[in-house]
Amino acid sequence: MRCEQYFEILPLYVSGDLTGNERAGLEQHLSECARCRAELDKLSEVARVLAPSDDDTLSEVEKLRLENDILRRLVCEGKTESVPRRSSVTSLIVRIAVAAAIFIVGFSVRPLLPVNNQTQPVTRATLTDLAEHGSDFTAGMRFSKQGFRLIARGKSGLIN
Amino acid sequence: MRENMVAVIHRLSNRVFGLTYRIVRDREQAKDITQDVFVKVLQEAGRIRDRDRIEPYILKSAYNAALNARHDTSRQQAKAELIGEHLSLGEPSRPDQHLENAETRSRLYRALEQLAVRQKEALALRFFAEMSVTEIARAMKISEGSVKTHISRGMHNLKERLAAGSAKEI
Repeated sequence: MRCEQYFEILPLYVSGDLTGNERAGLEQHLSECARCRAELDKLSEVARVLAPSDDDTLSEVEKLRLENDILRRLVCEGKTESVPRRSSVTSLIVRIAVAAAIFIVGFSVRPLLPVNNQTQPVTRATLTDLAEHGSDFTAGMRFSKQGFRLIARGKSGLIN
Repeated sequence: MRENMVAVIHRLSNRVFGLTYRIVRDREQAKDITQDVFVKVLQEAGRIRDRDRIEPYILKSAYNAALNARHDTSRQQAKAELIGEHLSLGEPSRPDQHLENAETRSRLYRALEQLAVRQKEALALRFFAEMSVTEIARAMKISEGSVKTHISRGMHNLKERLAAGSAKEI
C-alpha cells in the first residue's frame, strides 16, 4: 500500500476496525512516516472526544428506573406477545385465591410446628385480649422457619 | 420470550441513552427518547426472533429519534431567536462544564452536524452507540466496506473542521 492509502485508513486504526494484516502494515508504515504519525495524533484526539465520558452514561439508579419504566409501559400498553398480560378481573381472582391459600396453610400447619419463644401463636384467648386493646394493635402473617403464623402487635410490644 | 426482552433492554439501555444524550444533549429528554424507542420497537417486534437484527435496529431507531428531536429543538431555537427570546439551546441543558474537554466537545458536536448524512450517522453509531462495523452495516443496510469508508472520511473531515474552527477562533 502507498502512503496515501495508509493515510486514508488511519481513522480505522484509531477506531480499532482494521484487520490484523492491515494493522501490521500500517504500524510498519507509521514507524517510517512522520506525516502519518502527526495525522494519527490528531485523529486520536478526535476519537478521544468522541468516546463516551461518565456524563454519557446512566447511574445504576437511573438505569434501573428507566428499565422498569420501559417494562411497565410494555406491560401496560401490552400490545406485544412477549409480555403476557392478564385481564384485571382474572388478576384479582388470582390474588384473592393466593391470599386465601396463605391463610389456610398458615392456620392448618401452625399447630404441628414448634413454638417460637418470642412469638406466640394466636389463640382464641389472645384474640379476645386483642379485642380489649381496641384499635391499638396490628395483626398480620409472618413467615419464618416454622412456617406462616398469624401475629399481633400492640403498643407495648407483641401480644401473647 | 419475556426474558429475551428484559435482557435486550438491560444490555442496550445505557448505549441507547448514551447515543441519544450525545445528540440531544439533555439527560431528561434522552431518557424519554430511550424509553419511547424501546417501547415502540419492542411492541412492533412482538417477539424477539433474531437478537443480531433487533439490537442494531433499536440503536438505529434511537439515532433517528434523537436526530428528529434535535431538529425540533433547533427549529424552536430559531423561532425563539426570531422573536427575540434568549435561549441557550444548542448547548447542553445540563452543561458539562465540569469536563475538562467541554469546549472541545461542544465544537466537535457542531462540526459533526456539518458532516454528510451518512458520515455523521456512521460516526454516531460507531462512537456514540459503540456499535461494531458489522452492526452498523446491518442497521444502515450497506456493506461493511462502505461503513468503513464513511467512518474514515467522516473522521478526516471532522478533524479538518475542528482545525478550521480553532484557526477561526484564534
